[in-house]
Amino acid sequence: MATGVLARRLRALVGDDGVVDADDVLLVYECDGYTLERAAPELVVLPRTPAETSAVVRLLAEERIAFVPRGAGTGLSGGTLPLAAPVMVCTSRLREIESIDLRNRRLVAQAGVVNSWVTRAVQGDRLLYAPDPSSQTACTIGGNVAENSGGPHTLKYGVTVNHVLGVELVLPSGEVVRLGGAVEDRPGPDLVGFVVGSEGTLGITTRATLRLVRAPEAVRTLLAIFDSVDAASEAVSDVIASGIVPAALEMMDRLVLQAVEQAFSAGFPADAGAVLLVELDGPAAGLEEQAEAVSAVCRRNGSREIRVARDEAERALLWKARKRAFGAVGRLAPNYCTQDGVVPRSRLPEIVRAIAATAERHRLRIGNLLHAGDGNIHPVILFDERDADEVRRVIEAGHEILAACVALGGSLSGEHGIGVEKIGQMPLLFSPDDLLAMTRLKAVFDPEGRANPHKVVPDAKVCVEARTPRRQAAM
Amino acid sequence: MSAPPGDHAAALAALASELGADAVREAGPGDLVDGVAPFAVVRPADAEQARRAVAIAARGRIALVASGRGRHLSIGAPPRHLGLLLRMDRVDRVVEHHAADMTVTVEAGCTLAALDERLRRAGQWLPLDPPAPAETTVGGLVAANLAGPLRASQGGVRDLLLGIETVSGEGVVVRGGGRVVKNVAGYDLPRLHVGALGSLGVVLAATFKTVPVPAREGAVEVEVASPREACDLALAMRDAFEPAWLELVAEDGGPATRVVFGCAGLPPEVACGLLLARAEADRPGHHAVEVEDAAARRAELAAFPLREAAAILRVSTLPDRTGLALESLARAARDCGVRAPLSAQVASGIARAAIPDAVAVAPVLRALRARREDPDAAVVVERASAGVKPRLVGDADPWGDPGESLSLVRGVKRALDPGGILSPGRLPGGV
Amino acid sequence: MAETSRENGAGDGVSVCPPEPRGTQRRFVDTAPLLACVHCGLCQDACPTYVETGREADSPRGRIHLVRALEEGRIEPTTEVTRHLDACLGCLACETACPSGVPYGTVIGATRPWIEDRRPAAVRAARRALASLLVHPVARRIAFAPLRAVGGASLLARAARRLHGTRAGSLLAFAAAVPPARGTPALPGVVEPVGTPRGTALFLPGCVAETLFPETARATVGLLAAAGVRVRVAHGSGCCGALPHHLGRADDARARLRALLRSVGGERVDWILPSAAGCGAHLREAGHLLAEEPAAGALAAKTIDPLVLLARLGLPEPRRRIAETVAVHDPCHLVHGQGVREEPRALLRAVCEKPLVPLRESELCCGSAGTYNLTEPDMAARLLERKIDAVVASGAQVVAAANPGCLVQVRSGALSRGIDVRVEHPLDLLARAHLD
Repeated sequence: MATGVLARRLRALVGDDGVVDADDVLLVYECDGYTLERAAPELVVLPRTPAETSAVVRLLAEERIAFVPRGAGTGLSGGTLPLAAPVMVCTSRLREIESIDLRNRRLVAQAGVVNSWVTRAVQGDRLLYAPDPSSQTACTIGGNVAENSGGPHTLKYGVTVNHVLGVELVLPSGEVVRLGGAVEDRPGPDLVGFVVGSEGTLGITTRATLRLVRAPEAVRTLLAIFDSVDAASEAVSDVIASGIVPAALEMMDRLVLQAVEQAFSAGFPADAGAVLLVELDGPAAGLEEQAEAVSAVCRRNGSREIRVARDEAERALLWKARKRAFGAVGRLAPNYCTQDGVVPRSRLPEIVRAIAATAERHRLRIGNLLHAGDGNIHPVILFDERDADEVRRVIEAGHEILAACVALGGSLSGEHGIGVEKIGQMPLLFSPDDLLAMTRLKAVFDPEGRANPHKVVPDAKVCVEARTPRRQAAM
Repeated sequence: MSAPPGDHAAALAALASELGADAVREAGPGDLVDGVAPFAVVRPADAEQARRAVAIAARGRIALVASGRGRHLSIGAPPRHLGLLLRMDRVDRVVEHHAADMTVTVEAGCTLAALDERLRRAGQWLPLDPPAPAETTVGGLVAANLAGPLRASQGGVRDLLLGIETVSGEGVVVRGGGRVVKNVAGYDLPRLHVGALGSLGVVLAATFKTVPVPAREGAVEVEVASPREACDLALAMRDAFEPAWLELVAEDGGPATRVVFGCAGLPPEVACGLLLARAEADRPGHHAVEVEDAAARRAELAAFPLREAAAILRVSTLPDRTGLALESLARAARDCGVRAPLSAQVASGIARAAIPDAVAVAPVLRALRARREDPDAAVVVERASAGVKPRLVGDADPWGDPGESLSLVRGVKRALDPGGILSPGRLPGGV
Repeated sequence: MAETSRENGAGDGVSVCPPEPRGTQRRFVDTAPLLACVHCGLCQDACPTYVETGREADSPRGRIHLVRALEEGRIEPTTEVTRHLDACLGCLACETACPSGVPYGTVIGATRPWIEDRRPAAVRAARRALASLLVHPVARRIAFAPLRAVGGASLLARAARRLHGTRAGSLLAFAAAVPPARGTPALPGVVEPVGTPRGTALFLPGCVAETLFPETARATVGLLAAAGVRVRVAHGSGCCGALPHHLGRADDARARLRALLRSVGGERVDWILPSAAGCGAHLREAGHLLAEEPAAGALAAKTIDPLVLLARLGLPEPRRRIAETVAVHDPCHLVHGQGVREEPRALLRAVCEKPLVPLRESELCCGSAGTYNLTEPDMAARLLERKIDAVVASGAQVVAAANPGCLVQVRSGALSRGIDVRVEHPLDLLARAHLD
């Protein structure tokens, strides 16, 4: 079908302003938060309701046109890059919170509802939606479901899949299936768990039933300064061994600290090797003792200074260094790119050493931001995009770091997803048999291969070549 | 689908030669799965032998059911065919427990009691407390999606399972997930196997998240006049303090129902929780008492689904409708002339009744389903003793309506077990 | 469109490499701020137009993408493209949200004149007329005279309600929202403070504010005097250039700023107080806008919003308290343009009997945005509906909005929906408690 005809038929379904088909404007859809690779769709359609979404997909099915779903476009692995998918289906207008059941702690949100709106809608009732990716003020529930998003508080509360009880999925045929729902423990295999994290390759999620949790009664935040990443990592292990599960356990290394110091004068000693940010939450009873215990563990592991936030303002101050760290590091060089990998948390010192070796080998500067409690690492590689050789070395270094993660028993991605970015490295983690099983499972939902083609599971048909890493958004 | 008897001999010979004669024996009367008899029992010595056994079955198109200690085999519909019973109880190593990483990788045949013993050495546990931990294996835990009272605060198997290693219906090892607590690489195969009753693959090993054993556990208990009142009180207690577990129980079938509220953590946390829960429970007419041994009480409540009964019926519903669900169960039982002990996990919305009389199971089930007082609820026969299942046909099917995901489940089954040899017919909709 | 199916090998020849720029650099905007955008998307949901349409091109990130493509010569300023750039309210909510410190205002400010020059002549003329109408004192007085004559009239409001949702309805409501002329006496040249002077401020009565809100100007001066400030009123200082700047008329804007600088530059004062938040945000950028004039930087450094100065110096105990429930709307030019959020709330808390009522999306633009409600009426109307929904949901009796544009806009919205809510400048509320 000609694009013009398709656009006309889609406009009839979603209204005049729900279709974008001017080439020069389509350009803005050529990448999401991952900017190393770019491709613009031929047409973007923005349905207003779940029903319109299925009508759109049904039309695409009739015409056998492939599509890529997109929420707010904050993804960091190029999951919404249209590869052989002419049409992009945006769920950004599906913005209704359809129902809130406070007593049963359930909320039904449409796919385009922004993550932070969910908590905002229930915080007056002392509830919250636990997954809190750093992009939570912009990213959507539909995108969170697709990517199985995490956040700094996953150590204690888990990731998206632990908080999604049901999804309404528009299959690539346009057929709508409701999987799971407000009632837990339905008989049969856990298809909801399978759909969460499938990166839009099984269909388009239009609604999700979310589980809400009680907002913690009290929070204690403390920041400990160490001489080395090793010492801070030992402290992390000892905190865990002491039986305390903090809500968040974040680490920054020397390069990051220097950048933060330069940008915001946070008052870190010039020779500090690592900083640990620990957040504890729960009932007020016992929290003070936990904070004491964590402080003691840090001191025992050689922490030279511990700062404890006494109120919300001081807490915000401690978090500021962490939350603005990417911005601060970004000021050290014209460009930077952030990797996302995971190791078992006891291997943190090893992966940090491996990263340092990689940096030296490739003559690059790399800083480390770590969700230390989860073993989720975010090395930040500095470079200048005008230096072609350096760019090549950045890409190689990134691959080496991920390979090192896998060799240490870890994984290619803790929260950014595979998308197009890491698809070439999937064989490091999975055998051909594992990948074949995944390919067959995809075909159950999408026999014609029209939903977000060439993502998650590598196939022979697509060869994605990264040429120019640009400044890349960080988690 | 099942192979003709001639091939049985060939398969037996292949099994004996590849696994050793002591790993294979002919089936006896004690090896029935829901009343269906296999012709042989295979007991592999390790994961590789298990894989080979499945591969041999795949070649001969022989249906098989995997089992650990057989304690939970009455869950699900009876197998449509059965050739081999694959006993996994010898594949039982704790492969690795990384205490510092709070993860454990364990083979399918390891019992939860053995695993618990090992984890506690490092002050950790796998916070899942299904009944009979000494006779429940990790494979069974995953396949049957078993859980106990702790589910209220710790989540179910799906929330703690990080990675899995299985043998597909083609005899191929398929792995998914990993050994790290945060991982979004590839499709989530582990969760697909949760509750799949081994029909999508035989579990060889699984990796779980572990957590520190709480320093202290405490509980209070109070009896009120009806299940609905109990449910309301339980939710009020939950709103006063987040419990570790929250159970309702009516041993003699109600209406008097006990609320048992458990909390766990540091001593001051537990003390605070018990105080707040009691303050909520101490209303005119009833008085809450502290439970002496909270962990023992929890284990006792967890054992409800394995009590002596013709069948355990389960209603899955919303937390605030568990009281209503218990009353529906009680009424349906009474109408059929039996008194059924009742139990519920309020936070997860699960209500159970133990139907004592085999003749009453199907009528009670039909009555509940026909009445549909709660349109969102799923009413299933969770377990049934020998001889009851054959009566559960038509609108008394153990699973009831398989729902709109049936065609997807069928597809997933075909993708991972194209020959249909793994636990055929055990899932909802005859999958 | 290429049909996709398994048979025809959809993936063959997929190219995802970044396309090379088609044209050459145009150099109407610095590339540094464009490169500072890491495309993270955190600005999206702060942007009123994106929230309304859900389209990437109506978001700050999308607009920066378009500007970069224009700058690199990849696209042309077609109607389609400029439509999305014109739809920008300039509220700068995106700057507040941006973690990388992208100076979006600078980017869009540099782009507007370039686009303006490339518009069809007729469109350009119409926009120029609008700009001069608003900033020219005589023209302005003539234009607003009919509105002021009937301003606030209930008849007008009733008619507006009947026509709610139509363009005529919004115009009537707008007219009804403009305060009626009351013959407020002109401000004296100097107002001496109560007690010992704590400093001297130069008050710029401004253009639109002076014409439409003379009472608020009186309130400002009175409150400042009560706080110990000696106030000199810069009569005839004229427009600071903020309005033409908004309309992409860079030369006009610079000329007006230069004129203002000449008329007030020599004054020895501690503070310079604009009468509208939009002027304040603009004046605080004077150093960048007139980089060649050193006095511009000094002007920018001394510019402070009256509410901030009052909060900093403190007011005496109020004479009476406000009994109604009050909600605070945050004008873009105050909260995003100048980072002022707490001060109006702190001042109002001190004079209200009841706690302030939270207003959902208080930082989202009401659609007024300088001349926006005149140039982009449809989007302005959608945002106003959204704002009024939030006001209704808050249950407040009074909405405090510290900017003339927002006052008229929100008031007109309340009138045409027929809801019983008063919209007032916080300075007028404060004056009610402290003065008279």
